[in-house]
Amino acid sequence: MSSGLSERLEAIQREVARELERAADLSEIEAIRVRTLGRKGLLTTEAKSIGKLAAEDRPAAGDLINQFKSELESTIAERERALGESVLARRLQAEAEDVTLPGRRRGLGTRHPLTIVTEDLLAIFRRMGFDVARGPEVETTWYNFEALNIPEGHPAREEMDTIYVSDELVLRTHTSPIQIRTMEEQPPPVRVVCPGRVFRSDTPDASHSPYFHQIEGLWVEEGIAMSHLKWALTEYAREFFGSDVELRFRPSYFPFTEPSAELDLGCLFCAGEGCRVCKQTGWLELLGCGMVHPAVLEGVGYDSERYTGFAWGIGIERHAMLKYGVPDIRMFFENDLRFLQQFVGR
Amino acid sequence: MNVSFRWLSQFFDDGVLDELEPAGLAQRLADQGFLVDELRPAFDPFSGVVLGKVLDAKAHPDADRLTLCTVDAGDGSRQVVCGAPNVEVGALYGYAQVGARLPGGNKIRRAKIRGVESDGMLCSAPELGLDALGSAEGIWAIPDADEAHLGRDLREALELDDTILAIDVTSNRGDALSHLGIAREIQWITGKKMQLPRVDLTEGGRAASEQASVQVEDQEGCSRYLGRVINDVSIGPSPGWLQTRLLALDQRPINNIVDVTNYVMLEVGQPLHAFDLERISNGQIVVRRAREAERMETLDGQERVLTSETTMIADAREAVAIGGVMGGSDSEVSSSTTEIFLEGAHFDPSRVGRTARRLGLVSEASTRFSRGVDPEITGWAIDRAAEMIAQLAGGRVAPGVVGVGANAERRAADDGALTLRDQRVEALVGYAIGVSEITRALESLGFDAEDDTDGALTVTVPSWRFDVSREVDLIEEVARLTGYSRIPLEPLPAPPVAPEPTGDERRATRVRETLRAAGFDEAQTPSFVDAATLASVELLDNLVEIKNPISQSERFLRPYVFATLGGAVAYNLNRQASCVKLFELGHAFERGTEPQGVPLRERRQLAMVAAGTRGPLDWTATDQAEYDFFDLKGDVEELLTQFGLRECIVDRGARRFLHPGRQAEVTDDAGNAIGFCGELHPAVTASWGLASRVFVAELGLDALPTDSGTLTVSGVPKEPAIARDLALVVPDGETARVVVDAVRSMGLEDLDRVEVFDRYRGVQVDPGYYSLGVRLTFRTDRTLTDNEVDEQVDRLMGHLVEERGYQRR
Repeated sequence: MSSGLSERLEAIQREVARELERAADLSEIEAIRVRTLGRKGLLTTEAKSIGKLAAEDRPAAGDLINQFKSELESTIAERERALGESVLARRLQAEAEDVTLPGRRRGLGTRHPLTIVTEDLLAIFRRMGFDVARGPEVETTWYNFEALNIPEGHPAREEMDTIYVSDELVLRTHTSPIQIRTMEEQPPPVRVVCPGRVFRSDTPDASHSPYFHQIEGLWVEEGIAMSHLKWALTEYAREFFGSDVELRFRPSYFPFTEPSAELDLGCLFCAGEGCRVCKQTGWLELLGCGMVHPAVLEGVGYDSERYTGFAWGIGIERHAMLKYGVPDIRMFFENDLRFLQQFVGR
Repeated sequence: MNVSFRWLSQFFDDGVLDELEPAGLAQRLADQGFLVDELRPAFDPFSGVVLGKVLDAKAHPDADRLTLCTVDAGDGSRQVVCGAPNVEVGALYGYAQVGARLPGGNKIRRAKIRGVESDGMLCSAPELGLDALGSAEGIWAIPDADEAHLGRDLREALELDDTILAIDVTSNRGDALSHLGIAREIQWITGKKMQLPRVDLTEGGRAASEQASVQVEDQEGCSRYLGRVINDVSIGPSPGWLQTRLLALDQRPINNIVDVTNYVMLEVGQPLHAFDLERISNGQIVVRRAREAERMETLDGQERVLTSETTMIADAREAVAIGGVMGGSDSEVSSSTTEIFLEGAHFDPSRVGRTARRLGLVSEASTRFSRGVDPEITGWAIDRAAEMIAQLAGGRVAPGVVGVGANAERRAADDGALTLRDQRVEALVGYAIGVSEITRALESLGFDAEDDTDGALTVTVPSWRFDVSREVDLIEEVARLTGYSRIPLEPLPAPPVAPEPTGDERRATRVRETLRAAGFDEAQTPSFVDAATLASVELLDNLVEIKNPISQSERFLRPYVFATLGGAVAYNLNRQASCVKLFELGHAFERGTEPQGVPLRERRQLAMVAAGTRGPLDWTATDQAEYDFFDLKGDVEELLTQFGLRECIVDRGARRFLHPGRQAEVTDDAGNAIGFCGELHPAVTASWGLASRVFVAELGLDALPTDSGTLTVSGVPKEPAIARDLALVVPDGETARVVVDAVRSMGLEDLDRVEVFDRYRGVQVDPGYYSLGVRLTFRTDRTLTDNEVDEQVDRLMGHLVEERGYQRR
């Protein structure tokens, strides 16, 4: 073996180690690789010189060079990897964001609270078996009154504060005309809820608006009694207001139902103790309901001996006011964004 | 209807109602269908005030305006210093003893007034909380007070300790607008019979028929008209107890005649009217229809113009009263009246109702007549009133009743008795109520129920229950008396098919969800719109006008939803909102045009209105971008895409309320117009007082499909695409749509997509031209080469240059 090869290789190795130590980026490391392992690199030069050695020394020299070569390769690769990691780490550090700055948003809109309440109520009634039907806001006096057992001159008709478009056309005062239209179109059984906007000639104040919204319901079938009415409305009230609400069915009067009832809700604000909201009575008037008047059934050609049914009408605004504590009905129609945006995500 | 607990008690034996107390009674009445809105004390509380008589009055030695009174309160005389100018020796007053507490909490103490000891105080009416009975300027001499009661507590003497029940009487129960009517309902609660007061009428002097006559020409309007004559009355204030009772029920005391008529009305529900007989020409009463445009001055001093619908009470010469509504001023009872003609009549409910509403004269009397008064109480009521007048005004009741319809026919419906089947009660109510309980309930209300052999009851309806005409009405009576709380809960039968949301519901939900995600808030705006707003948007054709609008200005139904939604946008902009994006689903209206079709067309519309910034404040942007036409178009396009409608926003429209250069028409996929989108004309926003640009869109909701149809997916391309960007210089006026269509119309074999990526106007392009950047994406079922693509682009450019005069930049 030629003397000095091992020393030269160790010198190269030491030199490479020093240079790698100093290298600041990947291109410098690449230069070191070329200088030592490249085609004209130091180790290549040594390998070429093996031919000058005695034949018996060549294998040992070759092995030695290969050993050094592989050590150098892994040293350089190791250094390259380490430097790469630190470069990435610096970049990531430089790119760090203040994540507490706001995200770029488009702004999320909301359903109107009256829509939220309507859809909640429709879902409850749909589960009970009611279909949904809609109808026109301008109705004939016949659908709005006569078909509902409210002939001309009837006190209820005069008290309804109707808004007229002509002698024969009114802005519907309730959504009950849809019930008549539905019964005209199909034989019993009829199970339908009718949401929509209705109108009364009321001067606006905190609890009145000349336009507001209702859901009226109707179920006509053989064998339907007030006990079904009580069950259906008890279910709905508990689902909407909570299972612990107090309810009271109280006799009342509507021309299109007989017997008629009002459903009162134990005051949500004072637990029945009496407060300003319930006018010290402990009760809030929730809705009107009753068994469909036989004259209404007969008017659409149903046999009122065979078929009976119940109907009810609820005010959406009132439900929304109770559920969300809205103090003034006019807020629903002002559409102040600061009001509407409170319903985002509801 | 306000009722007095004390008065109700008088219909029953002593103590019957006291067991219930007002609160208990209110509860039971509510359960029975008579909701009590309020319970309140009849009068403000005070104590220590007794009936005192002024025995002597002399001037105070040291003060001109003060009087030294000697007052007898039943237990010796005291000296009271009084500052009132109207002390009357011999009169009876409310005397507040030392220690008395007056309404408001004032306590009376022994005091020296200008050196003279005063042992209490004499009270004015307002000092006792009885403002309507006397002025604050002087002390209140209690009319007709009984000297035997000197020293008696004034609250007892005037029956002031009472509770008023404000009862919500439903409009079908005109019979319950009286203490009698409520007392009848209470019979079920107490299980005791009520009793009307006994009337012991003493008649004397000249017969009524010699002094007055009645002739009814308008029998349709007046089925019964009875009159009594009371002679030699002296008009004066009613006694204290009567005044306070009326006052507690919100009736202002007038004089002893009018007060009696009001008292009897509140007692049994029969309105009565008293005329000054000497002002009735010839004592002759004629009940007739009014002549068209006949005029008369009513006793409130107003001149009224009447129509033939009105029933008039006239004398031999002229009208003296509007039947059932209000008397005339000429025949009114005055302080000098001595002869009274007392009217008790039964007028047609709907005609009285219409007349009263038309004249704006809805009164206690007209309300009762229009809801129905028991025709069989009329005779009792005038006898009762005549007796009271004779007692209180010192008159003499002339023998006999004059009038028509003394034996008025009962309503036809009452003639035949009704049949009530107990099985039908059970079928409707949902549980069995025994025949004996049914019978007891009906009889407590004055119905007569006879048990038939075949399991049904034959029920006779009393004269005052005009609301009961068929079996179901009786079932309601039974159900409400036995109590709704007793009715069990019975689950509804499950329908064979569970309901699903309808197409309409699904469509509305999809619209709401899309627009919510786009940052639009849902609004609900009025259906009414004012003329000024409509004029500002020049939408004045085919408007639907309301006959009786709430406000004179807002008298039209909105022809478009944006017309009112715009108001909500303005509301928010005026409150410093920086980004307002609202939508509404609502109905819009126009007059129909078809000659025989509907007179009105009602459309379900979607409106969107946006103004201000594009979105919330964005710190990453150098400028906060304003919402513009292309934001609106994008929002509408995304919505339409949700419904499978693509490229449905077409050329500029010509709507006058929109910016002439920034508006487009929206169509369905068959090309039918369904709406528009655009920037509101600056003149419109200016007239709305807004500085911002406002963008609006409105679509017919029914034009959007309710279902998205079926979908079969196509494969995803595996081969890579090659894109080429072209900057085309095209003449101004050549729209992007035309350019893109020109590119597409070449039918290049491998062209997959054409998209606009840029538009440029400026120095690098000749005047009269602009540059449109178009990205062409080529793709086919094998890998394309650049050469193949370049060849197609060259072919396209050659065509565009030759045929359309475009250049490549």
